[in-house]
Amino acid sequence: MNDIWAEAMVEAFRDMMKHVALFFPKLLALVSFIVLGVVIGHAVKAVLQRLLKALRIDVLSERWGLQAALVKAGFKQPPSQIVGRLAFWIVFVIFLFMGVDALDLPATTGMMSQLLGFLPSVVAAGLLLLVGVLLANFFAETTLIATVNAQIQEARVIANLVRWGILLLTAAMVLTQLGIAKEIVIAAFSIIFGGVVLALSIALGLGGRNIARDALERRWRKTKEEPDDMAHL
Amino acid sequence: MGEWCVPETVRERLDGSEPADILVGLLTFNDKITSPGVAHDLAEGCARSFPQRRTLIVNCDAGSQDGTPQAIEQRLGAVTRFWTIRHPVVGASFKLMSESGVPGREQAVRILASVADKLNATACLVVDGNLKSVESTWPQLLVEPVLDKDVDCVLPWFRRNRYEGTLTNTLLAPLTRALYGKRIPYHLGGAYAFSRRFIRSMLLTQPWDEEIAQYGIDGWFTTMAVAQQVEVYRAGLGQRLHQAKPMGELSTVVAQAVGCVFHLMERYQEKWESVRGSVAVPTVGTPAELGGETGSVNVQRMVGGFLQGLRDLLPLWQVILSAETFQQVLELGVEETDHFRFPSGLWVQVVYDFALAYHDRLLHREHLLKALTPLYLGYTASFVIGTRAQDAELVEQEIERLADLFETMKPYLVQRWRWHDE
Repeated sequence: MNDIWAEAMVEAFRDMMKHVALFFPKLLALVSFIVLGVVIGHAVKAVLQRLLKALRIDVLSERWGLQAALVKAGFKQPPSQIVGRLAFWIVFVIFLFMGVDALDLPATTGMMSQLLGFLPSVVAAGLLLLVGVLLANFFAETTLIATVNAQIQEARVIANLVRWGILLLTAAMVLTQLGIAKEIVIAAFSIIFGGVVLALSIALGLGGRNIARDALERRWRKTKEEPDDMAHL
Repeated sequence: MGEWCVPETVRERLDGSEPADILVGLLTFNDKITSPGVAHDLAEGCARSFPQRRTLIVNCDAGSQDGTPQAIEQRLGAVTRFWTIRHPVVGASFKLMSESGVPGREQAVRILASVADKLNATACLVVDGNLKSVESTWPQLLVEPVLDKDVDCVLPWFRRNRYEGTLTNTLLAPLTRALYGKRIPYHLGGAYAFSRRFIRSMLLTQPWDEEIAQYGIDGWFTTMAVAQQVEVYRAGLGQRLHQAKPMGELSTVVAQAVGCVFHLMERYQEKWESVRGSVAVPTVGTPAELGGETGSVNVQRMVGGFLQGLRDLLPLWQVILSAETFQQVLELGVEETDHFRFPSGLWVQVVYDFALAYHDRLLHREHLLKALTPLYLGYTASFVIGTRAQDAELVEQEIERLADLFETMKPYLVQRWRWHDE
């Protein structure tokens, strides 16, 4: 009896030690991948930042007005730093998943290949989102300034419509790119966009009929009745 | 030097061509009604004032559909040496606006400068073909200083009504004067004269970037003439009457004209930073005083434009203006139209803040320049309200006071410009 008990204990202990012995290198591999991810991520970040600085990307983006647009979109750092940080996180996440994959857990099997398969879509969606936000801000600002200079009283409303129109389109494109409920997104976008246009038409046609007529009359009369022959130059 | 911009046909014509002493360039685009008379008066003026000099009249045309070059040729007859060049209109030129209404104007001036250089001309006179007030005395007024007094550049000085050229009087001219220390009228377009030296060392050798094409050549060489410390004169040419052509949206006009000055501030930073005070440039002809006529001015609409800017563009102005300036601008919104006042000191601060924001690229540059329009309307409205009961002499004094203010407040600009650069 004692022998059987001792054997069972030893067997169990040996099994556990065997598992630990088998798992420990995998854990070590995970830690190593994390450390490597941090080191290589920082190296890639530094190299990219130097390269972008050498290419004068920050100066050029300032010259093209991209820097100001980024600030408006909530990015306070220059493009070289944003790209550097993004590169760091991409490298780090790749290494992290490699480490998790190395653990060989049933739940995480194939995670790395899935991630690598999904990564291009995520990067493309991220870029789409960035470009969409930048364009939305830029065109909203262009519209606002143009309508204010044309003395259209509803300038802010028009500018906001432009901004949200572009953002809505961007959101639909990003979700489609990520493959998240494609059909629902397209249907929702069509319904919302169509709904907004219909609501505006109805609002203008019924509720705002008089306001629209007054506004048009005001503008028409302004140009017809009050010519201003000032030469500014 | 700059030969690449000369069309192939002109280059062929230039080879073996007889030199000219005076090159008269006439810029046209569908100006059949006015340009033959302008060409005739200029040819007659040159023949009378400079009988010993060889004159060549060159019509730079942007592709008129009404037979302008042929009409000029017919009017001048075979006695006058006359060339026609069709200048190209490319890229940004389409967007440019000038009172001459000639697209590709900067290309035309560059071609004229190259032709004058090739033909070894001592003086080059450039005149707009849509003018109706050209007289045969103009060649003498504009070209004589170049030929006899070794002057490099003669700028036009036109007699204008009190509220004509408000952007020029309240911003372009006083800012240029404060920056470069020379009191010039800053009248864009009309007529200019250049010396051979100015053409060779300045017009053909200066870097020619996209912004210059975007903002227009008149502001460019006017600023260059005062910034480069060359001998500049102004010629009192009387009134400028011209065949009006559409000038487009006010905000575009403001962006183009002010953008030119701001852009060149960066190029000539070392020149203007140390300049203090200003001197009047010598004048030929009768000094052009301010006319008494007011014309039709809709002050209510200008105040409305400013108030709408105050309501809708505040977030942009907050980025552009300094905290102190912004606060003062905010306080302007409470006045009734008749009592509306925009203090001159505040206007100067606004202009300097916009120049600094342009330099620092705080916003997309076109947006920034166009966001100035409501503020300009506000100041102009205040200027009109404050001076409409006064006679022309007092209005002129008011403009002079504003120019002085631009000079005295220049340290505000210089300090911040340096601070932003560090």
